[in-house]
Amino acid sequence: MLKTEQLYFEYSPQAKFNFPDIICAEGDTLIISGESGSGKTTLLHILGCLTMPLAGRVMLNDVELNKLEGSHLDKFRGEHISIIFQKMHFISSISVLDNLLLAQWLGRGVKEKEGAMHLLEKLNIADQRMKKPHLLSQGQQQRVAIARALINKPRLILADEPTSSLDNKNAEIVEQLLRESAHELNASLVIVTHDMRLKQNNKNIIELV
Amino acid sequence: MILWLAFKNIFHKPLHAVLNIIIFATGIGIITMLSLVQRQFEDKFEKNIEGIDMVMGASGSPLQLILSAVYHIDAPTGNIPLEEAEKWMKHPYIASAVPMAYGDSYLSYPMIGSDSCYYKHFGAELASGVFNHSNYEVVVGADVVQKLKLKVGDKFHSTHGQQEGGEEHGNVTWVVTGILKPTGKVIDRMIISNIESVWDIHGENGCTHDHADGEECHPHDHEEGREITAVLLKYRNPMAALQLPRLIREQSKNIQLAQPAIEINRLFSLLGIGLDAIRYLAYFIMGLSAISIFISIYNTLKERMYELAMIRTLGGSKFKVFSLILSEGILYSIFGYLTGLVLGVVGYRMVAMLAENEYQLSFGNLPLDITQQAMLLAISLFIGFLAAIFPAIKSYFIQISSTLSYE
Repeated sequence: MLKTEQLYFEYSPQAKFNFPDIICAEGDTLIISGESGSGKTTLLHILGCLTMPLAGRVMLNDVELNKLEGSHLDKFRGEHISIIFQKMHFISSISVLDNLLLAQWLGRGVKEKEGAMHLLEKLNIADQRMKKPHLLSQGQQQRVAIARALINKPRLILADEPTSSLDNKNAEIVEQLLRESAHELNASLVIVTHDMRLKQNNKNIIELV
Repeated sequence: MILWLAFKNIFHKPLHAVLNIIIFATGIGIITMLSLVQRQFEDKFEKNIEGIDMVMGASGSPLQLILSAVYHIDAPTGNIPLEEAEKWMKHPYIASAVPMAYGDSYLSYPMIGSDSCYYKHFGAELASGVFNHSNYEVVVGADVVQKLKLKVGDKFHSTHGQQEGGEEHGNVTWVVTGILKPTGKVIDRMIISNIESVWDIHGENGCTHDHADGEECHPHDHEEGREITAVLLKYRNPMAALQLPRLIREQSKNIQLAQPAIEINRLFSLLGIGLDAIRYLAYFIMGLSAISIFISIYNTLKERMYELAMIRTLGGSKFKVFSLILSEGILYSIFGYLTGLVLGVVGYRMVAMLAENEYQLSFGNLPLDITQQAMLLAISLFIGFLAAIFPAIKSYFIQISSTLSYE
């Protein structure tokens, strides 16, 4: 269960954000949408503990995230929160499979090749596992990013515009995949987007202004 | 895992990596090679002056006298009358004296005439055959045997002078009667006959004078007019070192005395200046490589900011990112050091081969100087550390959110 209370953040006196409170149960999907500059990405970064809010609280189950500090915070994030960015960032010097194993190691301190292979097979990119990530197509990279997000069985999955660069068919596949995976893992899924297609299929939507 | 990732990152740009490692290795290689060559040189030179307090020979450069009489790598300064030399060789201050007469050479290996004291001086033992007994019999050093494939009973014609291509003495045939065991000293590349053969071949028909093994180390009476090239002297007591040079200088004007230890030290210090200059150059190259490694890491750091922020997002701590970048610098220096070590040893081998072919100086296998190598490794690690520490600190303070937001 993800919950926020009275989150506030400002970059400058001209750019202040008072975010509406959010609740997202386990296995549920929440869409956060809004215009450019409405603070969508900032909110996502706050939820992912990449940025600290200036006021308010973020609760994941019973843990108050903004009370965590330093390497404890990094560790908690690695273990329980996965973030899929709009632009995909992989470690370019190592293979797709190694990128997943690295995520396992960073998040949980273990490397399980079987789990990684299973996930790659499920996402239909197992045959690309030895390639460097940048050699894959956009759609394939998207799936690797999703695989990496799921590999540590997180409690919270955050996705920033995961479908904006995809055509209708692929956008639907990705949305389906994320939603099903979150449901399977019993994780909360928060998608930040201005993609109208995603809004059509969801009831749980928060509009930022 | 961090080391593995650092390794992958370095070789993600293989040309950069190879360039950095080669520059680094050049510095290490030069230093390693220089010290091997220098130690080998000093070892060779010092080993050969053991037991020689003074060298007596014709006037000229004292260094030349030492280089020619002890090492046979320079032309002799001239000859001295046997009569004059013997006066001092028999002097009570002298414990032993090894007379040498230079004559011919065989395929650029020097031949000298001496007596049994020469073998005793170098502690040489026969590997096969017997010591030379009569005129035109020779005993051959181990290196000569190895290079020229000589064996007991072989016959050859010699060439006048020490250089190849001199006039061949066709009417004289030398016979190999003995082969020496290796000593690691200059005798290994000598061909030794009795002195009388040298006199005889150059037209002074003296008596044939047999030398028996284990003979008393003092010369015998000889006729007037004969000459020898140099004498290696060993003093009987420390008083001799004080008295004798003065006596000889006063009484024998044509005779020069040179002290090997002093001359060789002079040679080393002259060489040392040159070697030091090259060594400083090597350290300078290592400094350059530090800059080159720094630039490589720093440049890729800019491109990799997202990657590092991603590592943080995936749960990597600040310290992990810091040690990743630091490891890259350290790995560069370790690879550079190891490559340099190989380069240095290979370079030394090449110098050794060159020395062997050009000067008949055989360099042996020397173990690496552990203290020096430990120091070089420490310097290497420090350079790697220095090159990577600032990028590493920069990566430690990465702002994840803003790095990932500004594309």
